[in-house]
Amino acid sequence: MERIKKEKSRITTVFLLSYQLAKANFKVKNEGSYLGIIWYLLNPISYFVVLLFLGGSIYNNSVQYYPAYLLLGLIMFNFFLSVTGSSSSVISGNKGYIKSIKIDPLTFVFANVLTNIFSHAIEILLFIALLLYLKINILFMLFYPLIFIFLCLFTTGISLIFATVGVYISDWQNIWKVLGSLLWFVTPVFYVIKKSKTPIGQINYFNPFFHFLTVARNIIIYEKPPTTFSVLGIIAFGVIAFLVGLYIFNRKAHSFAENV
Amino acid sequence: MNKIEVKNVSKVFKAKIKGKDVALSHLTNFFHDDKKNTYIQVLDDISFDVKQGEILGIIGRNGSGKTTLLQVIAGVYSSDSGLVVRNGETVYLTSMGVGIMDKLSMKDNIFLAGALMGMSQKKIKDIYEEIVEFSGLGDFVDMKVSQFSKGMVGRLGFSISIFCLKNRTTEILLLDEVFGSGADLEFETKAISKMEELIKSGVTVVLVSHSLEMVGKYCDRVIWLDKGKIREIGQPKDVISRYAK
Repeated sequence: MERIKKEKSRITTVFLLSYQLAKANFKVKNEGSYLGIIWYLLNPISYFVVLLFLGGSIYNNSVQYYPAYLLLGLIMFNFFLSVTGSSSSVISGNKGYIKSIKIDPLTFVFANVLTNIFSHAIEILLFIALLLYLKINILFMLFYPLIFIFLCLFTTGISLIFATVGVYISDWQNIWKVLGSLLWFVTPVFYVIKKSKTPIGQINYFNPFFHFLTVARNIIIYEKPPTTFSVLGIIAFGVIAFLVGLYIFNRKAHSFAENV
Repeated sequence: MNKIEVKNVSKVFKAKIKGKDVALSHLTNFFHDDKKNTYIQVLDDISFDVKQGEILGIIGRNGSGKTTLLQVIAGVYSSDSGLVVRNGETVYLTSMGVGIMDKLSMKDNIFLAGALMGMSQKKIKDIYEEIVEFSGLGDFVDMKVSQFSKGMVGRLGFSISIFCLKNRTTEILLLDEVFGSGADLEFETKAISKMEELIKSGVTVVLVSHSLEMVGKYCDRVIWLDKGKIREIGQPKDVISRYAK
């Protein structure tokens, strides 16, 4: 019980400091200008336009609300890729702090996640605008924060593992770039899996992102209740990834300062 | 009562070999490690303690292990063997101005660096005016630090650190080469007197410095470290004179 209390207080302290760091990073990225925010939208918009053209010609309007289907998949997957992509250098990139003040290294992983949450929020506004344009009921967006909590737990868990690995394997960021691209193509972000018994359908059965996207799309776009299996799947993926990530990170955190 | 106890502490660093930390190298080394690891003994069986309110100085040549010893006491590094006990809230300060980001304004930097030093946003708000006034940079609060001169950054860094330290509960202060803000003579004099005030406020201090004058002036006892070992420990006058020879 005492240990849980200690860990809770540690995470609260870390979270408050992470928030300050994330705020500072966000300001630095945008140079304090509101126009800087446009750059966050440029990436998903450009991908969206290209893939909409590509997907539109493949599916020939057979997928209902395809633009919303595509954009939601893009921004959720981009959040994951963006956080995990930068997490492997998050400890070495902050070695100045880690070596010179007594600071919990967890702060930097959380700050990285929070910085990306700020930009994700802007992308979500873009998605809401698209829902309004397509005349889709935006009321079901109220469920998104609930789905996002588990997406965040999952992403943070993977980030904690990558941050640890990145200390010992300097080219992990490059390796993940390749693996992340493969995952992007395996996951139905811009295409649709119509038959679950195909090889790609079987693979996606074990792909956490398939479940995150299916649950989010079913609820928000198609107003359909998700299957119990998918809901339990995203809860399990989120909680397990976070706990495993935290365990690995905590086991190695004491030696980060001398290895970066 | 001892505030710090260091018993038989040793620390070894693995020397980093170029190309050994890439994924392929990890994989091939798993089967056949052709590059032998090199280890450096940085601290070798160090033992001492520091009493409450005592100011202990650590001197020695570059590479003698002074900073590593302070980092082990602070908990930044863990020791390979031995034991370190700290009885009280500890602050480790390696340079004035940790956490200053060039692209942020002076005001934003005060809030960020203050948070990194363990202050709540409310507390930083309370001491904000004092920091700005002491730094003498009141006309530049909204300016980005990248436009500051080196001396101005030194002033800002020192002012944030010193006021944060004064306004938080600190029982043990571990200072690594913190004298000298890099600012002009007028500010330097003000800064040294502020530092003196802090050191003499009754906290327990371990001070690493190359300035023998400062060590001689403030410390109650001095450790002379040589190649990771304690060569001598005793009265500042005696240890410093032998070290200087």
